[in-house]
Amino acid sequence: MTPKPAAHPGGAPVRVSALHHSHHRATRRGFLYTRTGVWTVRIVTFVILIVAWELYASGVSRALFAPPSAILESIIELTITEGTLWGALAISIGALIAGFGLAIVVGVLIGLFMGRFRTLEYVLDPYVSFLYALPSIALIPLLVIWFGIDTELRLALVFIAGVFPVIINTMAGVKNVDVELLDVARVACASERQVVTTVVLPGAMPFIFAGIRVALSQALVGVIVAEMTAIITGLGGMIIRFANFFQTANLFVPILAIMVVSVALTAGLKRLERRLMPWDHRHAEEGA
Amino acid sequence: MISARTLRDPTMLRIGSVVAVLVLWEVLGRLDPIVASYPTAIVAAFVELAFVDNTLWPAFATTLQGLVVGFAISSVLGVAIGFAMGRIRLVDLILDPYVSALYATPRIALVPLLVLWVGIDFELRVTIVVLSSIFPIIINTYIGAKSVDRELLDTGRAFAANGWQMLTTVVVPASIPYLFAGLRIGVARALVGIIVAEMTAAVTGTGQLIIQYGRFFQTDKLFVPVIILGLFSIVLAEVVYFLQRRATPWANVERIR
Amino acid sequence: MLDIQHVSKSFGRVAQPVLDDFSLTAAEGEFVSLIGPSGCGKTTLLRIVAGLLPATSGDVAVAGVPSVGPSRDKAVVFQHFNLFPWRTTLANAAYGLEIQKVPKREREERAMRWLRMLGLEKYAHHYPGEISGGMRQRVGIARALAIEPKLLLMDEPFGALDALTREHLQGELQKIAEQTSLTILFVTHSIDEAVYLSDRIVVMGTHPGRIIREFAVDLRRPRYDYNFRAEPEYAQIRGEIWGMLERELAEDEERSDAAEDTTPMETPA
Repeated sequence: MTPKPAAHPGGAPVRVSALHHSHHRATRRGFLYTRTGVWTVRIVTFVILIVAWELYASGVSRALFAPPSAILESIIELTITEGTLWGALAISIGALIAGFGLAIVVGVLIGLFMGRFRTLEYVLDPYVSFLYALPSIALIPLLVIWFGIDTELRLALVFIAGVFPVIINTMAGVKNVDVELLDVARVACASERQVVTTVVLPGAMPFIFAGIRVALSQALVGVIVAEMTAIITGLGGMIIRFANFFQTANLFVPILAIMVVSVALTAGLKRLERRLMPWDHRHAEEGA
Repeated sequence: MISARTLRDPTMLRIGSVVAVLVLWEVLGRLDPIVASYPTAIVAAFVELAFVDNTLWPAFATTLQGLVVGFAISSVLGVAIGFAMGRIRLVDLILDPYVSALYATPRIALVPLLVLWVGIDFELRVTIVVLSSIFPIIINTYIGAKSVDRELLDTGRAFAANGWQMLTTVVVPASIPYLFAGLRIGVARALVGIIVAEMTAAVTGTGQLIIQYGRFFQTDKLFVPVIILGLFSIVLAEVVYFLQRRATPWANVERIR
Repeated sequence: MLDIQHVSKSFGRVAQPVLDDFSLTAAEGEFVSLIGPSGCGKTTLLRIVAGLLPATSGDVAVAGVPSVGPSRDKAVVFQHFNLFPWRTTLANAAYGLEIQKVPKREREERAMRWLRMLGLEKYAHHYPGEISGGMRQRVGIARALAIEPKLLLMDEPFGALDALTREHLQGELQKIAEQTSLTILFVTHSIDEAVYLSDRIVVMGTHPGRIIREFAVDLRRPRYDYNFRAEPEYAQIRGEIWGMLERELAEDEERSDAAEDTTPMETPA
């Protein structure tokens, strides 16, 4: 794919395909940059890891170290035969989405107001900074006193874990909007509401998304923490129960499930980001 | 005389709002101390725990030990791995999926497994701290190593620097800001990690205090370790920031006009 | 059309005003350039007329109506284009109309008309990041013209472009000025550009910002049709303005040297 010519004065648009770049690099730098090269390395390392683990675990106590073969059995049992994984998964993801969704809405609103109104920022800033720095798990006992051991507790924790990164990043994004772009809106006689919807929010989007990405991982931690310490349910609850009965092989299954959920949600978020911000060229550089 | 100007001054607003909340807390808290306690009770509890009972400092010391050792390990390892992954393609390919997967997993989910493998004492704390803090360090160092300005690399090559020289004279100095960003995030996560470990598995430490006081509805005592942790977290971040400024004297100077 | 009366502007507690007793009138359809050394307040004046800054004293009236803030009669073209990166060319051009709550179909039609006039209809659905600087500024111009203002304010609009693109767009601006009855207030650094484009050139001095002299440019229009630089009148005006600016810069230095001699020495920070 040949690159388009660079712009001449007042002329054609500038656009160089990202694909062209990576192909170029592959032929220059070698095997490890081609798709086959990458996947070969990944598969080979994975196989070596599994085999080494299998051999080690079979030599030492099987119960303690859970060789991959046992883990595979557990996976099949929990996903297909008994299917208990799915129920727990639904519970955890449900709480995650509810709390996380609320955190985004509230967080963006608060961050927006704090970014636009200096006074509000100075008033709220000490609390936001302090609570952001505080590990959310430390609040569990306090939350138990307030909410009791109930569904609200999980939602509260997920919400608290997720809302502060969103607030802080939204505020930074709002303050970071190019002043000259705000001038454009003012010259056009835009009302405050129009300024916010047409300039501030779109301009702050990259920051807001960064905050949402952090909030997602924090919210997930919140769910698991709540499920492992206060209400023993969902994936976290599964971990506790299997641990209490020393079922090491089974123990890996919810852990792997959490990993998969986390990776999948992050990837989904990236996709969403790319769709909502088609003008952002940073994404064009991310490779295979 | 409070002029209108003073009322709008940022520091005044911050202090003012904190004072206002403290007063409100005091008044409302006394109505039902179990819910959220109130500032004077918390201060009294602090005095009791810190000086009379002597429960606070030993617990804090235990936490600190695990934190310091764990963070030391993860900074050294993390930076080394980060640079290795950033400069050597093969290392990058091999480690990347596992680094990403582990980074994505909440450490607390791994605690029961780790308890089975390493027990519930010092080793557990250190392991959790390492697992919590090493990933941001690796990732940020990695980005730093990869983001070195091409022109600077070309300069090194033009002077025929060998691999090791390139690393020490160009790559490392250029990556220091990223490194410190990673360390800052890492230190915060390390603190979270050790509290998590102490609240779920260990029997001593600041995290355990929180659990105990919560269990017995001693809300006033409960707030003490919580607030201390929050403040400590901020202090740690400032310390790392300070070290960063010392390490990069070239980054902060004002231009000579 | 534009009536600026004794406008002064001071910032904070600084002793000397940025603009001192600035008065200027422009008739409908007139093209007036402001030229002067850096810091002479020409951009400040433009922003005051646009309504982005309040004047410390003095009045501005547009089409007989006192002007205190932004209004629909005025449009601005900025030096750094200031397009919204998240909007397509068409959406950017239609922005002013959107704020005025013109319904979607109508505003897109109107914006398209101006894009066509500026040769941009093929890039209507591109993002600013995908088009060149010259094209972006054309979008900026289309955006300003789409709201059909009476007064067009341009703040060194071609300053961020390369020489070739600049000349190209200067010619296009002239064509647009011909076809509309727009009054244009144009801030620039370039004497050449000012002579090429304007009916009148206002030369400004600095510290404080004020009018030194006004020139009428009588070169026949349209000026893109012939080599205006070959005209003797061009050399004459250019020489005079150039000399004026040089003198102003020299006098300004003298003035600031004199000021330094009388202020006490401060130890460097």
